[in-house]
Amino acid sequence: MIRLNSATAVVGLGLRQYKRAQAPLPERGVLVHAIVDACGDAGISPADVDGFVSYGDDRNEPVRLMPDLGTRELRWSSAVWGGGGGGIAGAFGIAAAAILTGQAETVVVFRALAQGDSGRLSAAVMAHHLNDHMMGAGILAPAQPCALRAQRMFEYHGVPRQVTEELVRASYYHGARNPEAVAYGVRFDPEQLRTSRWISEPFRLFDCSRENDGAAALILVSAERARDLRKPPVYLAGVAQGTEKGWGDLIENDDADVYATAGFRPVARRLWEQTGLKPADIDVAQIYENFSAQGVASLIDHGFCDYESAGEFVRFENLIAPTGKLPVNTHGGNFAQGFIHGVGCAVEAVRQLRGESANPVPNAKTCLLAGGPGAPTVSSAVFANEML
Amino acid sequence: MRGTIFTWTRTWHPFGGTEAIGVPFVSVVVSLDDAPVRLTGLLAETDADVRIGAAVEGTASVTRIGDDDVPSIRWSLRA
Repeated sequence: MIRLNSATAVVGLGLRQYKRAQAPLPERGVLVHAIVDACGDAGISPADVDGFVSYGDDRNEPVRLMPDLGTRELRWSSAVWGGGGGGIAGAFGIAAAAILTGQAETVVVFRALAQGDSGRLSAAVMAHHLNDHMMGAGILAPAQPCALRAQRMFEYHGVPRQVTEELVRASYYHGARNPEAVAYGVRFDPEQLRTSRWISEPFRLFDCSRENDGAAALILVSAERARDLRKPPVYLAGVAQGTEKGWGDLIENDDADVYATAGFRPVARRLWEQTGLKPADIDVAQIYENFSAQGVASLIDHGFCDYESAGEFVRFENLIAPTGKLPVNTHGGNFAQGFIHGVGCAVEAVRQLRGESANPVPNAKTCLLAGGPGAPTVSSAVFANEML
Repeated sequence: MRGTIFTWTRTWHPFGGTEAIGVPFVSVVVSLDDAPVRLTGLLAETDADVRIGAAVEGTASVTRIGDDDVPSIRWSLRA
């Protein structure tokens, strides 16, 4: 078996983000710029990118990017199934698989969204799950099924509702200090959250992520090749995607003991087995939060805390850089940095381990990336700035 | 058809397609008493103090979604 551990590394980043429906170029143009930026960051030619991986129903088929990028040979194009953000970390696993088996050398993981081309993300995601059972119950938007799970986590499993406010506050704390964040310079008053309008109980407006136009690209190459490139390598230490029996698109009939989770239990178990790491070994985490409760459930699923200890662990002071026990979403997360289907979380994982974050975590060596909580399939990865 | 509320949400945002229902409305997931299955539907009592575990009774109905009448169960709290 070829081992994944630290055999590949992210060597280039590009991120272009705009307000929703305000991208200055069509979606493909924004994406091409992000990829060119990532290649410049890595010190490689865009023409040398020979592999492309995305997730979440991205519409930009790689072959169509070739003329603009000057691609010499397209050797690998693929995507993680599923319409939600559950493929964000898994996309790196696919890219690494291509590299480690010699099928491609320079693979870009990307996601692009511009409302003018792809419409509202929430509608695109929900289209995967709509059927008469859901529609007949008035459930037409992602906030609602996530609210059903959140309600169960609070009311039945007894997780204190305060945890969501703590997570949102931490996101805004980081976002306010990140010049690239939508919340840059914004002073967030928790009272705003508490009094904001209900969307779908238990979610208020500030429990929900917002959508942005934009694109991000991350270049993955072999660890050997990464050593000769411009930026310090950020190794892919491990990655897992998928689900297990009892969870999926089951029309709310998921097993009772996992119903209120974010779906990460089997993925986290494999990730820890694969890397030999445990939650306490993670220095910082970028946790895709489509909705506040799903971010908290992700932390629980990965073993940072459980239903009983969530109230103690998920506290603002624990979640912020540089002093928190586990700084989370140090760019501001989907809530406060911006939401291009969660790809900003992957960008921040790499920046944090390069020491380029706007909210650096001193001496951070490992970063968890968790994608798409609540989706039928999810994925997680651990990145590291040393070979593990 | 009888069961208990497994989970619920009260929607206040007028998501596209729900216009004919009107907000707020309560969506429920119900564990059936007589089968190991959960079914969805709307709860008739939109302003009720809804709780997980509450006993409900359901009848066949339709929910207007956009221009379609979608077959659905309408649940009511049992005393």
